Amino acid sequence: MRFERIGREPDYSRYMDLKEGWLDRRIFSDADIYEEELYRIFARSWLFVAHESQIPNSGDFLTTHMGEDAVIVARQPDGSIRVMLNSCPHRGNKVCFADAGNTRRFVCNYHGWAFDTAGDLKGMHEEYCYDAGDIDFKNHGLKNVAKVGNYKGLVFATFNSDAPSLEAWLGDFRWYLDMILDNEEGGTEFIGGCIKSVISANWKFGVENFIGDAYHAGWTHDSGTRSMNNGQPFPPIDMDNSYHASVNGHGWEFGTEGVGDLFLLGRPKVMDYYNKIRPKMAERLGEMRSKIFGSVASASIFPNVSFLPGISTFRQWQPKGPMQFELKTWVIVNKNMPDDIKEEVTKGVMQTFGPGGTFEMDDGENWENCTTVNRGVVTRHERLHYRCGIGRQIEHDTLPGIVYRGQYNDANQRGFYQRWLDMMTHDEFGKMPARPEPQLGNVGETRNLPGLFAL
Amino acid sequence: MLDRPLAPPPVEVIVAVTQALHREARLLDNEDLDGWLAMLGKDVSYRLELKSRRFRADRSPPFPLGPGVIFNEDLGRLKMRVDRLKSGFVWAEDPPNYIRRAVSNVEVLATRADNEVRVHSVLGMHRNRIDGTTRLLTAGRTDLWRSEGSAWLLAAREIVLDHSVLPDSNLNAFF
Amino acid sequence: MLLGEDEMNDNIADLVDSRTGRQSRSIYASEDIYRQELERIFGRCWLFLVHTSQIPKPGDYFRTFMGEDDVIVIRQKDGSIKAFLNSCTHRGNRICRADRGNARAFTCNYHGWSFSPDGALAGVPLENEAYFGELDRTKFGLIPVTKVAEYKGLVFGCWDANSPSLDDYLGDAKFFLDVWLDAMPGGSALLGETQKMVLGTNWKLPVENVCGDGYHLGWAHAGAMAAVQSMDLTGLSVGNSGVDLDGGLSVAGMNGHMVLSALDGVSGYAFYPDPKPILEYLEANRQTVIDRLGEVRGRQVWGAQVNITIFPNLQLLPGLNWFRVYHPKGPTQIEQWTWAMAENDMPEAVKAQILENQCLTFGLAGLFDNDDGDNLTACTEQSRGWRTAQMDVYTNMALGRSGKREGFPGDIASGLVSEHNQRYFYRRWQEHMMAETWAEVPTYNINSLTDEEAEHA
Repeated sequence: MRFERIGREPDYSRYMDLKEGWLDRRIFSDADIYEEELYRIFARSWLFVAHESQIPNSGDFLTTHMGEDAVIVARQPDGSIRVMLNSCPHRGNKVCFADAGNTRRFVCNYHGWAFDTAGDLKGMHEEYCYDAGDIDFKNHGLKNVAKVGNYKGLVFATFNSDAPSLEAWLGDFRWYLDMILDNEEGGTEFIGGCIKSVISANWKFGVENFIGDAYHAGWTHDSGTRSMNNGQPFPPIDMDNSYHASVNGHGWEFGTEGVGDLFLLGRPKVMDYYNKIRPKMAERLGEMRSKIFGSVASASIFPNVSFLPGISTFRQWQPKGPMQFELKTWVIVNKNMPDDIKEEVTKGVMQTFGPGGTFEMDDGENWENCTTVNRGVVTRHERLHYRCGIGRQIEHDTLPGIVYRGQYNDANQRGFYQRWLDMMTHDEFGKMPARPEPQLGNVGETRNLPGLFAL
Repeated sequence: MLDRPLAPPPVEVIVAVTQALHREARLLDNEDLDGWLAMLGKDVSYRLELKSRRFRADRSPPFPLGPGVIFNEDLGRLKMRVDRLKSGFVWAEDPPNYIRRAVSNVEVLATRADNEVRVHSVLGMHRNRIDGTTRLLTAGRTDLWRSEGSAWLLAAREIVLDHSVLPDSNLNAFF
Repeated sequence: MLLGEDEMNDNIADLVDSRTGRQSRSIYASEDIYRQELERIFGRCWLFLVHTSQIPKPGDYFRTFMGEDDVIVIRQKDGSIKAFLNSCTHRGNRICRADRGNARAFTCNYHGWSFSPDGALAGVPLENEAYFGELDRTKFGLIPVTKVAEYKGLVFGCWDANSPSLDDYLGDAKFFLDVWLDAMPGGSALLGETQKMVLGTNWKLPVENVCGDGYHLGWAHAGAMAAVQSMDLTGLSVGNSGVDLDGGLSVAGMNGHMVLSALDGVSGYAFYPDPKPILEYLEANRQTVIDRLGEVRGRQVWGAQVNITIFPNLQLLPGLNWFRVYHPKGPTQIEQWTWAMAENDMPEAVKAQILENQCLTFGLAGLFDNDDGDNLTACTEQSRGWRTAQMDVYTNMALGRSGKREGFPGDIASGLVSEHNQRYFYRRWQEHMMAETWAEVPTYNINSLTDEEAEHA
């Protein structure tokens, strides 16, 4: 599927030089660039739409957005999941106004057109007013997206029929993702609802912050860290044994000390729980990943999902114009955790990264100011510095992806903007370079690959 | 002599003063400006000082002449403002705007004088103006009310406005 | 920008006709025109930043805007003044969120980069651990405003390296600025906190209102005049029932700057309920001012109602003593910042009375200011409709009735009620908007006086 947009074909490479390590600020505020992002990035990427645990039963649905397109995600009677535009083909009204629920039909408020959970048009108010041949029921359902995929519970969808499989899209990043999605038998689930907040900042600031910016934590969150931990400052970073890893614009920054994020969660029982299952985790995922899990770490999946492994906040940055996003956050836990540990995790997440959390409160203000200051025409033409750690790329025999040594680094941010540039530049999806070339291959289970890497 | 905490004022006083605050808001909402002036003491002081957003640790000295004001009125100046509003030439108020005041968080505290009470309150002012432009202004107030004869009169009011940039094109209104 | 550059220029040539006094309403609401204004007017002209009295000591700073660019103006250790974009060079965060204050360093909330008052990047957390000592700090200081200069206490900044000097930019407007800045040996000061207000108006409308529009005074402000007027102001009266055209001047043709001036030496204080203490100050010092500025300015202008407009967005009214700058916030919104202005030689009681009266008349609940906001907002609103945007508005009062006036620079029309100045304002606007570089912007000081003539006038 291609979405034509009448207009310019600008050279986006002039907005950045990632070898030198700078970005032009206009990508954070310009309305034309934003519009192009909606077409080239959000209409062509695999986008996270739900965790399967949110819609366990037939008829369960939730509503969300893919870019600025409103969609319904619905569980089908056969257990599959469908994703469709939340807009009636008759006059375009939104057909579902609920955040989530269970239903057999979506009925439009305007003229009563009714659709089943697959999106098929089933009937309408005063159906007799249409003569035979006026309306082709088959072609007037809710528009389904091109593809839906599920990676270990995370449901993604794309409008792009040319997109590679979800497995190929996540590629070697699955090696990292399995640390939250598959660190224990039984997989994961979202617990509690979704918390939404509106922030007057460009969506990319949220993504880049989680993809690699460990550097801000000790400063921005100094007060939060101290208040959560008896006046102790942010834990020291071991620059020799911490890393940035980037795969096609996805990125994970992490230490290998195993406890930093669990410590920041401020819930000793949760720390104990993970320490208890850690030997099993090592059997399951290998020694290296069992040491990474729980460390000071943060990650983003291109283009707009982020999470903190160990702290268990999972979030999506939904674009709402160049200078605004809606932040949606959930709590993700292992399904097989005892209930009291799940409750401890929830309390810890709310205390740290809920909307009134000790850490969360510090970030929004920075991103807003990073964005709104670009209203100035002089300001927005100035460059920003993304050079930290530019010379520290390494080959690592265990870690897949483009790996840099040292957690204080802009490497993953550069990787994210490189992918952004690739997508903004290449018309044909297949011609985008792989960064790096896949090492794991298209194999389903990263934990079944002991031969590939010396774990 | 050590200050001893003052006993709270009698319930009848609290009720009477609270009623006076509500009555005052109603008179202003209804543009009964003469009725409002009659609720003011002859020596009334009515002030709203300017502020700026400064870092907590900032050590800049205060301005020698003070920060400037939005209101610094005595009875004569308030009468002058009322005269202007009643002159028939204040086009911004014609047709009249929809203004509604809500008074809340009222605390009536005793003072050393038997006939005076200190009153803290919060005022929310909703203004619906030309073409439906709506603004909500909020302010905190600390008042001195004095009992004279059978009435409670406003003797002093310090207003703190909760806006660093006034979000409206005029302030033809009293807090 | 939706239009190409040539198209835009043709368009702008059509939008304003300063010979006949006509403007298209689209200049008050069009997004495209506004974007070009930010580049060609606010990105090019000298813009007022701060009065030296507002940042007297080293480390004192004041946050303001140049167009929509957020800047910090800082007094340096050596007493000089520098200005910088208020934006971190690392991720662009706003580094200072206070209005004003005194600081030894500005530290960004996000990652803790800190900048010294001279803009240098002074501290980078984890500089060795995270950057391995490889960050060239000299390349990541705060971005300075290209030029900063002072004229007798008024500090201006300019983004365009090819602009004329501040001195040349102000041109003959200095003749009138000196009536405040240099009348008395002690110089001038701004008083109090900044009085900030959001108005839903295009930025040009308040400028045009104050640069030349004596006409609205007797009508729009009739209620306020009835309440506080204590003296005659060139015959202007409640309801516009009369005017004395010989009592004042509309002065323009000075590089886009304009002045309105009464000539009686006292009427600046016409809107003070009790002008007596100030009139006493004026009479006690009048001879000093005559000695310093000459007969015309000392006797006739000092103390009279004077409106000075420095293109594009600064206005000051010695007499009523308010000083104001308009920061554009999109085509249909501004933030209006006002201060009270005083002479340092004034007795404290007189200064206090000026601050008091400025707040009373042109403060946030000012008796006069309360009248203007809705008019300006509605003029803007009524330029947005599909049909109204195609209409014109007119500044054609007293066309062709201007010339030289003995003792004054500029092209001068009689009286405070004229639209002579507004026509020059829009002419300057058009000159800037059509010019691609400063070299294409004409410089003119019509009927300029020599220094000697000015002093002996």
